[in-house]
Amino acid sequence: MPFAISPVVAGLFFIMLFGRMSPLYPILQENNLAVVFAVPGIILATVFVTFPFITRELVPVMESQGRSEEEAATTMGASGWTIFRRVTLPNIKWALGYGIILCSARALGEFGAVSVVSGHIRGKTNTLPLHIEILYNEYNFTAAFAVASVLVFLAIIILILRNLVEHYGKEIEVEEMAADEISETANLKEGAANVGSSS
Amino acid sequence: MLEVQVKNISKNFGNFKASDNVSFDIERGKLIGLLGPSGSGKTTILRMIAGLETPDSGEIFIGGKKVNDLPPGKRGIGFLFQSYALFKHMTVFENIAFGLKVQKKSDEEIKSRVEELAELIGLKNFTRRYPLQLSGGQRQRVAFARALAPNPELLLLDEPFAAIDAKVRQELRSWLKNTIHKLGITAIFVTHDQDEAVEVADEIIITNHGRIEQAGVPVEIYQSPKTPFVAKFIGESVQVPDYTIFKGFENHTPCAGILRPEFLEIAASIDEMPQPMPLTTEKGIVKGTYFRGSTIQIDVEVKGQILRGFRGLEKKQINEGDAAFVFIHKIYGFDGDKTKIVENSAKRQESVVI
Repeated sequence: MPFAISPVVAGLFFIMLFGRMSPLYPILQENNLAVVFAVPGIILATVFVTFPFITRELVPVMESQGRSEEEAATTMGASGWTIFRRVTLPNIKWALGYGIILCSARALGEFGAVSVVSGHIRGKTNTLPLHIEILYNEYNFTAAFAVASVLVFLAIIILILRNLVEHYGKEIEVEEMAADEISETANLKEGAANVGSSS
Repeated sequence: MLEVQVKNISKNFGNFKASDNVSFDIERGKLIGLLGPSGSGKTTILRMIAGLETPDSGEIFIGGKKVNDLPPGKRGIGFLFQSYALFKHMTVFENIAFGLKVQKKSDEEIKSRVEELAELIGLKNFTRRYPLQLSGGQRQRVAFARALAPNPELLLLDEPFAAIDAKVRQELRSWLKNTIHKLGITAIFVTHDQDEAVEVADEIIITNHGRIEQAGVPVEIYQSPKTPFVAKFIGESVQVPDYTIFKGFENHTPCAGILRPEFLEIAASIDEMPQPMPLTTEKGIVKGTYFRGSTIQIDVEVKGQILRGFRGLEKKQINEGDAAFVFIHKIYGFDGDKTKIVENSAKRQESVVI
């Protein structure tokens, strides 16, 4: 769903939920929690907008692997956390890494949702893209372009990372597939012999 | 001594009845085959015993203890998955050791147990390999060792031979049967292949539409099927809508029946029959002959029905389009949801005379 929603709408949604008009606002005030126009709000809005990138990477991988490995671990008495750490995580690590990189790329450039929630408090709740906007609106073009080039530089680093992860992840997959094929042919040749010698 | 008791368990997936009031008992040390067509609920029964599915109603006992509320890891079972479900990123050693590590066994204990099992499955020199570097048959044996490692009382196997090519499968069947008997462990395996069930199992439980049709030793199921479904499912059967049209069966009330190839005598001439009985022998036209290695399968059309029988290679060759004589020894007649064995009237008269 977050894919289909404009980030600005997502931002407004958080203002409605945690802002002054919300019934939650007095509770937040009592506990001295600032969400809107503060860092938690920015994080929430960014997470809401960027998480679909991780799920989109993970869901197909997890669906294709099925749940039998996890079930096998369950029948051997492993706890939920052990299963996740020792069985699920190693199987999804490449997809997860790729998703995190995509997610951070999107988070770096996120403007709409954060712009609504942050309140543009310089030095406190400003992100790089928001800062560029402020500088640009102040006709401070040189500074705006300088900040923009920082952003571009970060984007390039992420792009390189992404390609690295994709490259290594693919390579391992290809190796696994090749090993699979080799073993299939080996199956025909040596499988019978092995059973014979072992029984 | 009963190892497993299943009492009136039912399980629905939406409107689909996967298990419908299923009950059975399994004795300790027996190797049981759960046999049925796809979607007959056999895997669901196995998964409920393992605790991977929860029954909607009914009780399950393992080793005399009610296990309905126990998680799979506390039921004392080992489960072998159809796709083996080996941990891809762990070596053979780590795979077999997983269950023992979870139980917090000491390193020496784990090492000696894994080595013992690697020896048992004949993969002692393969413990450093990853599952993807093994053949299908080897992977299956690793999965077997992994399920056995924590010393379960009960071993559950879901279609253990489905993903292995035919030649290796044959050898693995006898290996698995011998190993399970040697270990003295109780085991239940699921299969849709009747040859496999007959060959491997001590006892067979036949399921259909979430219900148990018949349970018993393979010979008993083969020779006296209790329900029309079992009669149809076991053996290479041909169903006829009304068996009273055939000679030798006219004196019965019309009803459907099942003919097995081994109940048929097919001859090129009436004199070729072991005991020529022209009054009760049908005449038909050969519609097809199929070489089956040790025998020839012959399809004969008699009174509009295609009947199937086997014929030895040493006998005179019969070709398509030839006339053939068919003597039917017996038929499994349907009687509501039961079956009865109906003998050819000539055989009964014969026995009266002698």
